[in-house]
Amino acid sequence: MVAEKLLIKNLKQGREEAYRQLIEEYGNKLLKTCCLILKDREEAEDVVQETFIRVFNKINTFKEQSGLYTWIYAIAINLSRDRIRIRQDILELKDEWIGNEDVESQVEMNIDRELLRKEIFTMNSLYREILVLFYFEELSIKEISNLLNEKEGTIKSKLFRGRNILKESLLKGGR
Amino acid sequence: MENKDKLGIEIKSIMEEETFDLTLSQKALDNIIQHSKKSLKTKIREFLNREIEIPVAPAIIGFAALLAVTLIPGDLFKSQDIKIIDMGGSYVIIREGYEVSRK
Repeated sequence: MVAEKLLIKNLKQGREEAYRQLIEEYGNKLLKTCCLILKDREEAEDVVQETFIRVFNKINTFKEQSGLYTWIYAIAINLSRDRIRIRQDILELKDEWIGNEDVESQVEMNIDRELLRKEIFTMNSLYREILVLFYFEELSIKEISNLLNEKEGTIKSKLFRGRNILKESLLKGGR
Repeated sequence: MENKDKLGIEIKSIMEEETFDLTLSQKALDNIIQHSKKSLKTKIREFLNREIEIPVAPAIIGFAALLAVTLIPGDLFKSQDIKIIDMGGSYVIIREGYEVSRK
């Protein structure tokens, strides 16, 4: 916490070594997360670059009400969403919703990894985003809720639906 | 919604496999640093717009001291230099610093 405060102070003073430290700390992690959400390495790298440039230019407006990490991730996720929106990749939630709520308790399956892999990267990015933050980043529901500025209930619901989509597909053996 | 269940473990494992060799390129890093350097104009604008924090107690004390120095006359506490001369029972008081002139 003290180290983070010092880092923020140095960033606010515009010190290049602080910029490099921040990129070293979060750069690769952020790139992986964005790549999983966007399904495109180059686009993910663009988003990471844009995120850091924005962070460095706006650091003086950072009020430290949330952690630096949360703030950076929120910027990156928003930029990723913008990219996805441009691609018109986001479908209406109702179109994607697969309604069998019993699936969650029903399945103790042999997971077909290749099918699961395919499903993760073809599912609606709204659900994939939550799955990435929850499983890959290992953030809690509360942390995701703060990061995306959405209610915890909404996050839980999206996570539940995302898991159900995957389970349904696995049960059916692919769509 | 355990993230340690079988599905959760598989999801995490697949995501890690997909991204294990991903690193930010040197070009991207240089690009970020280059674009983050602030121009003189930006620095001046930030300087003018910066927020400063003034601790209240020292500020009040300082302000009060400044007021005291400017409002209280300088010779208030200065002792007057008085000479009393006894001239055959009459006392003449001479004060220095006072100038009496007659037009």
